[in-house]
Amino acid sequence: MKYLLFISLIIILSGCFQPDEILPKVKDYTTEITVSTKGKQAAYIDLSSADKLANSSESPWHLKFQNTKGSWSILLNTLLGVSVHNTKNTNYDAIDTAYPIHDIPWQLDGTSGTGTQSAIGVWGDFEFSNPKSYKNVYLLSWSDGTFLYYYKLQILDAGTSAFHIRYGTLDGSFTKSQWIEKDPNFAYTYYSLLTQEIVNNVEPDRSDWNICFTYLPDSIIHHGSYPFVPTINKQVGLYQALLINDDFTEIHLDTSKTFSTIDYFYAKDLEYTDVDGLINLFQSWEENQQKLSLKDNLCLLVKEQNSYYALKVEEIRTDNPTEVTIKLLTKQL
Amino acid sequence: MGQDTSAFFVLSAEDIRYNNIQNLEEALDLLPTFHQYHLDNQSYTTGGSIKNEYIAIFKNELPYLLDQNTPYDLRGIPVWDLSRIELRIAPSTYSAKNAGTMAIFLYTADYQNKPISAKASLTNSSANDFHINSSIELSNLIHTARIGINRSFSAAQYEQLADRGTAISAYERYDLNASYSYKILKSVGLTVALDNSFYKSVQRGEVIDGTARVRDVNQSFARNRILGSLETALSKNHTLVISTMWHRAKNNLNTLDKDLSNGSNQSHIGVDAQASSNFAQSYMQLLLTSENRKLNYTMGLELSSIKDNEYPTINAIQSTYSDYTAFGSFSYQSQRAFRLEGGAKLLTNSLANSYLLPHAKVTLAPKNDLQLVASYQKYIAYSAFSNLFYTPILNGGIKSNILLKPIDISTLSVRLLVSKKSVDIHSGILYNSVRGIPRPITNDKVQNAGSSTGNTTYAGLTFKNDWLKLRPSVMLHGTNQLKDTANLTYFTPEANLYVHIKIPNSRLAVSATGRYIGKHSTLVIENDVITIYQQGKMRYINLAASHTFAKDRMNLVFGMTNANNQTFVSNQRFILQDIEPLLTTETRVAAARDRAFFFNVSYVIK
Repeated sequence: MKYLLFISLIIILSGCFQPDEILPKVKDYTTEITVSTKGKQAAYIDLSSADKLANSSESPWHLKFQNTKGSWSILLNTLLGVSVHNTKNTNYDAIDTAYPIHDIPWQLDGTSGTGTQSAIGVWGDFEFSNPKSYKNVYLLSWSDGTFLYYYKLQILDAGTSAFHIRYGTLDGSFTKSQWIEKDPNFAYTYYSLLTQEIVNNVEPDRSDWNICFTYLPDSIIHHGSYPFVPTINKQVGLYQALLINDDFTEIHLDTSKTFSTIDYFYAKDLEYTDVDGLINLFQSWEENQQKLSLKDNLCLLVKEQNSYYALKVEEIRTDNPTEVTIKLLTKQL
Repeated sequence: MGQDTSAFFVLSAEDIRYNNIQNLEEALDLLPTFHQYHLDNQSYTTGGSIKNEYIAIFKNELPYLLDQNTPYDLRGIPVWDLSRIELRIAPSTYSAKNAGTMAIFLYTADYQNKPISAKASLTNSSANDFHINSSIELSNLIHTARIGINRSFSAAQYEQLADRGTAISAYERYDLNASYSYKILKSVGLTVALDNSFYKSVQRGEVIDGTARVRDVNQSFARNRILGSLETALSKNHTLVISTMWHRAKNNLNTLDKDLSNGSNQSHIGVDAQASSNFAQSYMQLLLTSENRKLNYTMGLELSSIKDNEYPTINAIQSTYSDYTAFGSFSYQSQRAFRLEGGAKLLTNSLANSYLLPHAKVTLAPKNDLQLVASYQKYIAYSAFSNLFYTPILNGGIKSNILLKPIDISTLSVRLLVSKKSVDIHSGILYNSVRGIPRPITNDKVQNAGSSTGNTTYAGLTFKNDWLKLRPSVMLHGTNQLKDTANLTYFTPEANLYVHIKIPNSRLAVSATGRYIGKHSTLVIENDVITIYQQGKMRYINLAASHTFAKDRMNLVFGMTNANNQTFVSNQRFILQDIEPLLTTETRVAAARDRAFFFNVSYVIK
């Protein structure tokens, strides 16, 4: 009987599955982000990194060229006040200091439901693998606070993976022809007309960021009384905005659950959308009090492949419209 | 055609105990020609120059695995009830499917034919494994019944000690086997048997960075086999055997997302979830054999029907196929010069077509110490249900093989046999050609487009006397898995040594098993790119000592598995660009579990 008991104990106690261990709850991560129209124009967030902030530089640039294969947008640095006018003249030399630059409409890039709209617009026939440019000459204008610059720009025939531009001063004292190769590691290639070179590290590698806090231009009448930073175009203002890296990231805006109760099981069954920019996402305008207030019940759910993140803005400080400080709460689900 | 009993290698009950082998997957890991590794809790086994899915498994001469071998978990096949496992090269079998290049034959112990006999065995190891089984047999010489039960627990092999992710999952298996034999007349016998296993395993995933979440897979496997066999002598030289089998195998894999901070979990459904499989097979064989001095013949019928129970109907079509095989063969033996065997199998598949599968074998000097055997045979294999029937939403986006055409395999073998008093030598070359392999082509549609070839050159020796049993073997496997595209042959060398020594004038015996397998390459096409996976060299050493007590009724084995503690080997991924392969990634795969000490105690009542 004693032996039987001993054997039974061995059988019962030996060789069993280990129960699942209990892990502590993952702590929320708070990040403070400051963006300004004068200084750091964009704060890129890499949700998978430990400190969430991705590296980017503040070097001034004037034009940015889309790197996505088959896409050929050329955008302006609206925060630097770069604006454009299409002369519709294809003779580069014919555009000179005699052109009535003070009597023409100047355009800024805009924002539409699907993302940023280029003021330069469709500059050629994109049906070809190397687009055929219409060769219109554009006028560019911006100010660095001290000087007011006027340049002319012509987009020449492009290669299959490069833009070819010619630009210079109106008086013809300076002209440069430049090939700008598409770099598949980045969403855009940034170019400075003053230093005449490509500006590196304005944005992180395209796989190293998910969202970006910045300012975007948009029509003032779309946003009612929301405060904005005025631009050269009286119809357009700069607004606080969130860019989304739609190559890798999808989002869901949730108002039905509190931040603390959102978990992976909830997040994975939601529908996510592919958007590349949203303006005034985290604040609403209180007509009665004539001030901005935080949308307390809004959580931003971000999906990157099989990873899910919940984001909530805890606080937004805006002492003046040109600078904003955001306290962002993040948790990986 | 008589069943070929000349095994290339026999893994005896002693080998099974000395090496602490608890299931067929572990047995194949120690059998010459086989290469095995584990990646993400899945085991990948290759039979030298031929894929494991083209190797049939028989138990007591009846099919165990003939069709749909790919998703079958070999850990669900126990070995505690076996007296031996035979590996046969180019075997002569009655089956037209998967049994032409190599086949595995499992045999349970013969009946003791004593009023009562019983045995029990218990194994424990430092890896926290625990196995216990017992069987009892009752007999009055006319009626004999045997029943055996087993519980096995095998602990997990972890990827890293610091994390919870398993490379080889833990499992717990229960077996219940029973058989009954009724000797109706001196020349008429009936045998009925049950063979059941149930096991569960937990594949544990690593904690996902930045979260408290894991993704685990809970596996539950159930197998039930019912067998019946009636044998009668029709005349002095003629025997008729009718055998039937019903086999159900259900391998359910439930992928679970778990949050370990609050204990919540939810099933994960998606193309990245592991697929379950579930099938039922019915089988019947009618066999007439005639054994004479010079001319022997065998003829018979084989009926088989297999049904996918995981998705019994797809687009209103039943996922089922049947085949009917008529076979006949003869052998003629001259006095001493030669023995000639030949014949054919005519297989008719209910969905595809009829196939005539010939075989021929010549043995020169069949009664001499030195024999030369040459054989050729053709056989077929069926694609997995997922490739035959499933719609893209069910099989990861691959369109089904609407042709339902079987895979065509031919084998050529030349073997030299030397048999002396205490020495047996096998040496030869085995060549196989596989055509009509289902393979995704450019538009993601599976077609019978692939072909491969393989060859194995081998030499093995068995030396046996009263105190020593020595079995060394060397092999060189050449595989050309993408003959239709890359047409590159990769070679894998292999050396094996099995030693048993009985210490004279004592009840002590010692055993050593050693295997060395060189780099092993597998070629696949991934997204239209030829990709090579190459696993590093593997070495195993198992050591054991045994002692008998109580008039040989009790036996104690103490041993060590994986003595050199080689657990993980490199797994390099190359893509073939131009001529030189380009290394893209290097990871690790588990070659074996960690070094462990074990003891086994068994007791026999005769």
